[in-house]
Amino acid sequence: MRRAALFVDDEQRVLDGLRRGLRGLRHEWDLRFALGGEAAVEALDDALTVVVSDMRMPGLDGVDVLLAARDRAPRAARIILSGNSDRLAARRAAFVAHRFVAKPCDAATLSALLPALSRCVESADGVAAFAAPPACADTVDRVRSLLDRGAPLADVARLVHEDPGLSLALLHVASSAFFAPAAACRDVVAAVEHVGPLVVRELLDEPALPTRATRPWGATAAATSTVGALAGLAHLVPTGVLLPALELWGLTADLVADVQDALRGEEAA
Amino acid sequence: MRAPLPLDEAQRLRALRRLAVLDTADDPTLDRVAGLAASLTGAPVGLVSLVDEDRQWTKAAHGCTHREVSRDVSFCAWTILDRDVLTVPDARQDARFADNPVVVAEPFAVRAYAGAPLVTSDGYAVGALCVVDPEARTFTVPQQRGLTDLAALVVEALEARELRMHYRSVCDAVGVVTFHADGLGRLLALSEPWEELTGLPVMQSLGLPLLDLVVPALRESTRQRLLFGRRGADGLVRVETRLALARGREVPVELTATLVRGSAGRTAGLVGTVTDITERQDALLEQSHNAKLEALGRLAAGLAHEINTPIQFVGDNTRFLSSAYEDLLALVRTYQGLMNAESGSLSWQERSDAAGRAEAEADLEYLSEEVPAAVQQTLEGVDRVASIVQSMKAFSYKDTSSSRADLNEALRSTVTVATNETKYVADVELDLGELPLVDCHVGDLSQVFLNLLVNAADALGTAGRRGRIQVRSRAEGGEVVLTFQDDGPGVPADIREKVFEPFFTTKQVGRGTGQGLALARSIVRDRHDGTLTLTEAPGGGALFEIRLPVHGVRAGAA
Repeated sequence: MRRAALFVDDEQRVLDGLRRGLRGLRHEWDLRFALGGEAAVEALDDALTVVVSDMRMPGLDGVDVLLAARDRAPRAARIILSGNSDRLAARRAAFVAHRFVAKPCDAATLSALLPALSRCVESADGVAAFAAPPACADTVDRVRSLLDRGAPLADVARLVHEDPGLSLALLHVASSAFFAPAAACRDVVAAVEHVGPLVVRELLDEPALPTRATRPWGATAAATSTVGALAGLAHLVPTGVLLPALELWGLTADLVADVQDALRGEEAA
Repeated sequence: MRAPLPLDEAQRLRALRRLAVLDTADDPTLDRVAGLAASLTGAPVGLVSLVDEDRQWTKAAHGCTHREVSRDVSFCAWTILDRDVLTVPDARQDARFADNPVVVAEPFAVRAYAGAPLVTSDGYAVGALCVVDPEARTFTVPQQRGLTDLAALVVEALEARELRMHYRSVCDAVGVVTFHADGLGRLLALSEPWEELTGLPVMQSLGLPLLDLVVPALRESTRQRLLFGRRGADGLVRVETRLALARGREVPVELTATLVRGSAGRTAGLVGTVTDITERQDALLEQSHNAKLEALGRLAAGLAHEINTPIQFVGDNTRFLSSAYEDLLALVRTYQGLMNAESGSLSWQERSDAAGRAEAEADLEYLSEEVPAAVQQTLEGVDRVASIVQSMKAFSYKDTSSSRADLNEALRSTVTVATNETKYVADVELDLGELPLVDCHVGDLSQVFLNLLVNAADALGTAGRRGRIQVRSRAEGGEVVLTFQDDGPGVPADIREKVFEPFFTTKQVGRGTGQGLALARSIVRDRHDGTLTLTEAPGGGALFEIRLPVHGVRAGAA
């Protein structure tokens, strides 16, 4: 069965270029194109494996399209493909887009990305729907004040590790091209270092950052490492969903492998 | 007997200090007045004495070399108690002076004295013009009156001296050159800092027409402005121009001048100041350059998007063309193979089938449709990037020199550069009339246009519906008129002037510094002698109007 991908842009030329550039995928993929956010929302359906949207569009923008996709194409990987370096927009997108790809992006990269992400979302039910759990509001406040004081990043990371949701969110933005060129960050310190404390600070203030008042992990011991924090997410979903989901959210294969090892060790113990 | 202190002693001493004459060098003019007083009265000695707190100090003298005596023995200390001439016909018979050591001194004793108080224009007696005689004698009424007149002259001289000194030190301190020119514009007077400013001796410059010192290219425009320029609230006209100095150097100056009207309203002359504005201009340039960079910084994100979009599809199309070329090449090779002699044994049907298979594989039909379109769109994309980059240039250099520029072109460039700021909130319509080339700093004006455009977009962005921005240009007499009109919420009448004040902003923090419109007006008014006004557009939006004289550029930073 051919997989389906939907490309969204407010410029026909870009869609034409993508159609031609991705022609090599034509035998395995049903490539669909929507001109603008409204047309895109119309075109969403459950059969989609990937949705790739431009960010800034008149009317419904990329975030609106991906939010709609989360409901109406729940099995689809969600990608922003944007030439915009507007940080505000990138922050809004950070919590709904699995990946953020900067324009210009060559067709070979997209051609490789599409099958890779579809393997993730197809490996188990619920992978695309998996989202980082809301961060604890209290932790967010404490991280914020550490950053404001210019505390060492190791101290910041120690605090972030207590919160799996926050850990995943930071690794996610560092691994994708939201604010800086994507980098393979193996832990929270590297992630914060890569995007810079200022961007982290802005991210914590972002209203779209899901937070909750109470600590979800009161029963378990707080994690002390990035791998530990991410392994803690196995309380929420089966390992078979968590691992591809982490990959889908942009974490490096090495880090995902470490989490897998940690979870295996836990099982064995 | 020591003279009592006058009732106004404190103020009197202050008046004396103000003259700043104590302990200064000899003044031959005053020495001559002292001599005049002596010969007028037939006395051997004449003095200009100043009564200080504890002493009497002699500023000028005739027939005597005494410089200073204690106030205890001062005759003049008695003179300053009154406004009339004090005469002492015989000091030995006078209870006030009989025991005065000066009176009994040998070889020269003071027997007779007549002194007229030196009364300043604000009414303080600071000293006396006096004559003394070793013989007892009387002074006639005409002699006393003569002393009074000479005393008035002395005061006049002292006060003029003070004024001159003040004026000089003030002018020196602030580096301001004052000038006075006659009805034909020839320099009658120049203050000292002139030499420092221009390197030309004052005496050499006097008599020359002021305009001869202005660089030739700016003479006519400077003359026009001095005579007919817009006057400020203080009645002064301010003209920025450049003076030609020795060895081909130039200095940017501001002339502040007011016309002196003679009888019958004829221009009798011009008085004013010349100020070196090198630093101010550097600062202004720097400020406007910084504002330009800030504007560009804000645009950078939008421009990146505008450039990345065509680059994206240019890249995709080119990659497609590359693979299409390979497909077509493979097809050609198949054809070649079929045409080969070794294929001679194949039937036409077999060849035709083989060719058909190869064509289907290459998707020939698709390629023949898509390749021309891909080429077309690639070229379009390249043009788009080129035009954006071209438009950006206008914003990226320091606009030091003026030139004759096509403002319609500048408007188009600005609209291109601001596309990303406007396209999500408004349609921008250009309605450009035929314009003459305008003498202007086109980079600065582009910045003004950009500011107005982005302001309009910001205003519409908050309106919650798609708006319309109309940019128009037309020529009108010796002016060009450029308008920026939006159909947003407009600006309430009571803050319409405020928007031009520095740091006034209605935007949220981070969206603007509030410098934009203040700087825009300064650029239009001060650098181009134009106007920038804000009124209400039909329908309630904001309507900014720029009027620029075609030959209006201020050559300050040429």
